[in-house]
Amino acid sequence: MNRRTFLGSTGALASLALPLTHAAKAAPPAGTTATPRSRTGHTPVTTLNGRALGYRMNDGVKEFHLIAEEIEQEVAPGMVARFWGYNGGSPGPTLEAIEGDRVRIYVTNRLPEHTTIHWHGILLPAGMDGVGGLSQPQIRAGETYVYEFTLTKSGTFMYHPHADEMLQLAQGMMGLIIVHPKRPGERAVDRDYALMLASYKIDPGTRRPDPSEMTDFNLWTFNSRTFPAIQTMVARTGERVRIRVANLTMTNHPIHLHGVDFRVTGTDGGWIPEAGQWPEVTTDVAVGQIRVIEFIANAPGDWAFHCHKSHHTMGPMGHGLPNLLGVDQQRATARIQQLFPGEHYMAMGSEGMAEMQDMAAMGDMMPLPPNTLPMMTGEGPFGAIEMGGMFTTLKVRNDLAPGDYRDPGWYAHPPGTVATRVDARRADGLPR
Amino acid sequence: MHTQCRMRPLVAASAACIALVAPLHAAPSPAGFAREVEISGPDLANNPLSLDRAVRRALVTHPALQPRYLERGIAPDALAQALTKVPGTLDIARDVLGPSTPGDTLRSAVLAAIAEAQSAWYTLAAAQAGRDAAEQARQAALAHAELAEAQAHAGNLAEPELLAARLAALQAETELAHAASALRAAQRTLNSQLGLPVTIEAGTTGLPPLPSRPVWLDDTTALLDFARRHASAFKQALRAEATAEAVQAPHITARTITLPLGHNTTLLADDGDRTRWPAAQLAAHTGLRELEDAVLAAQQQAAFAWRQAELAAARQPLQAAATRAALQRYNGMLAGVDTLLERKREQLAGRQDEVAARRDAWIALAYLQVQLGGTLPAPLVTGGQP
Ligand SMILES: [Cu+2]
Repeated sequence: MNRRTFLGSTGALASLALPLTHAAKAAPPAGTTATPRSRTGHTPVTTLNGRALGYRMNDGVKEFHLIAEEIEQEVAPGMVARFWGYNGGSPGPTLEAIEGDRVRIYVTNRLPEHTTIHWHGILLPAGMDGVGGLSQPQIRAGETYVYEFTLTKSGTFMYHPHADEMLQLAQGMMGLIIVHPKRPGERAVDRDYALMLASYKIDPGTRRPDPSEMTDFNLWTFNSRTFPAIQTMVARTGERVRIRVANLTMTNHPIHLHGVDFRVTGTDGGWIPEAGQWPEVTTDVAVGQIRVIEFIANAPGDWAFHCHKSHHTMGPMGHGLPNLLGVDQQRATARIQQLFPGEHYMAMGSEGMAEMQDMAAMGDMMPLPPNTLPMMTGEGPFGAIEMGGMFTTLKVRNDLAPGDYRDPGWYAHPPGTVATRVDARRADGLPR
Repeated sequence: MHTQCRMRPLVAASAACIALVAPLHAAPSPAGFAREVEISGPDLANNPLSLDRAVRRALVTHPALQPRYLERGIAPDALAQALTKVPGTLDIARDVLGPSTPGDTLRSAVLAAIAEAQSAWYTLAAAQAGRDAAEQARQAALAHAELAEAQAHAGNLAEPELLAARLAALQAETELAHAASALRAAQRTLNSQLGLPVTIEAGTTGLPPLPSRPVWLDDTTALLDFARRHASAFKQALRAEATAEAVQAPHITARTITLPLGHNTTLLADDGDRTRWPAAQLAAHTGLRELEDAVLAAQQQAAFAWRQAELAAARQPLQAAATRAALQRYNGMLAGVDTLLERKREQLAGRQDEVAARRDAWIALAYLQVQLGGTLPAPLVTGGQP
């Protein structure tokens, strides 16, 4: 079926939305229950804060429809961004299919400028590769194009524009493609999480990512969200867990998981043979790369999962600020406070920067610019977590039911297993 | 207030504090002329001086007026006493001068003296605000320098940045010294205009906000018309013109004249049958023309100064918002305290500009009022949006 007959059968371009013969597998946001394993035996992927794209079967072909458009989306409470994305979100919904599937993907461009989609990592005919000008004409504003190819191998892939690429990536246009193995049970896991690393420069007080920024980004996100708005991952003790991490930022991210050692089992090039895997607790995901990690969640607890670049686990912060660590600011502060009658000026940074989290909590007295995020945030069972950006948690529990993705709350530590404060008198005689 | 209390025998007996600041070098006025006015002078410095009180005082004691009062047998003390019976804000043209009479020069002298005194009062009010802003700017610079010293002490700041902060603090001190000097100069000028003892450190009730821009300010035709009807100088010139025109000019004898219009050409013209050269008319025309020019010059000056003041006022909320935004950014560690203080200093500099522009607008208006005969076409509407 060519594009014309398809359009003829469904009517005007505006009504291109595909009927979902196969129910959209809306990803289980925290607090819902995921579908159990599908008929082919694979566990549906859980895109953090995201969803899988619905499709319909048409004469043995899986038909998807991606709509490139401008959207508004919360990055974290207190900040909304105006992204370019797909089907109402950034990243776009995850395309999920089975090895061997024939897929037909309609792409409608509702952006003000042309675009294309490149299917990163998928082996396909050159004319389907989505490089505007090189492998196809640009999809102009208002046009719909169709791509069709067969998924010849399983794995983790991405989709993103290959047109005005720097701008369109900077605006949030990206998504994941998950191809499950055809053979039932092959590479089976109990939980399968996926996320895209995306970075943005959104000046405090603005909403739209700055497309001219090349290196100095201030929002480091998993799926265009920052901590604490990033969905928590959960697993039952002993379950096999997979996390697929795709990087479309402009720098590398050493992704670190506490509480387990993992193997890197796949890249966007395919699966890594077992002989080529070795234990890790941090794996670097370079620009334009995907790393798939797998592990047995054998230790209950609340475990941090984050980028190990410490300024990537942080909200926006200014550069070149005066270094005030260890500085006595008392005299100057008294003077400055007199210059700001009726407002609250507070000295900061003499003892460290952790006080920033308290400052952010005093939003009424010490307001931040509109539409921005505090430098550090998050409340845990023991107090402020002082994180932001690329940070979330993996919660492993003995009593979590299979297929239950609900956040179980904070971990109840067995007695005697939490670090405790030592009495000052006892500390005197400690070895040194 | 800082005054030198050097006792003089004459006033020691009364021992009233106000007497202690009586003029040190000038003999007191004879009783019955201006002694009461002189004694009351220091009292004025105890409270902030309103513009109206300054105008009333200037009317009585202005150095340019006292000799004229003397000529006409007006005792300043009596004048002052009479003025106490005029309630509200004194309107010189309405309450004091009355209708003009031909050949009266006191009227214009009074108007000029009042404008001078008003100008001195506006200058002092602006200088007070300017000194306050300069003091705040100095506080900001000192805070910055103190932070820099503390940073250097903690091992966080290198010498070049520390020196820059110290230099900036010294610069702010210099600017404050300028502002303080301008304040003292303004006090001296006002003291002189109001016949106050030289040592008085007078203060004003503050520079008033700019009223809504009056529509007549930009209507030159209407202003000229208004001046012709209200300014005594205009009336006199118009009368002179009418008189000159009324004189029937006799014809003069026909003759040939040579006009020096070309290098090698001699143009001949016959001015026979022309009226005699109208010297009186010409003088009247020239006088009128000069008056019109003076009105227009004052109008243009006032309109321009007003516009400058409006624009300077329009910058104020923007600069305040910029400071507020900097504080918000500081709160989020998105900007440093140095940026915050920089915005504050810019805001304070903007405030100084605004005060100076507002002062100039008021002064220009005062001098325009003189050109218009001491009154304005319509009262100013205060409290409007500039
Ligand atoms: Cu990172």
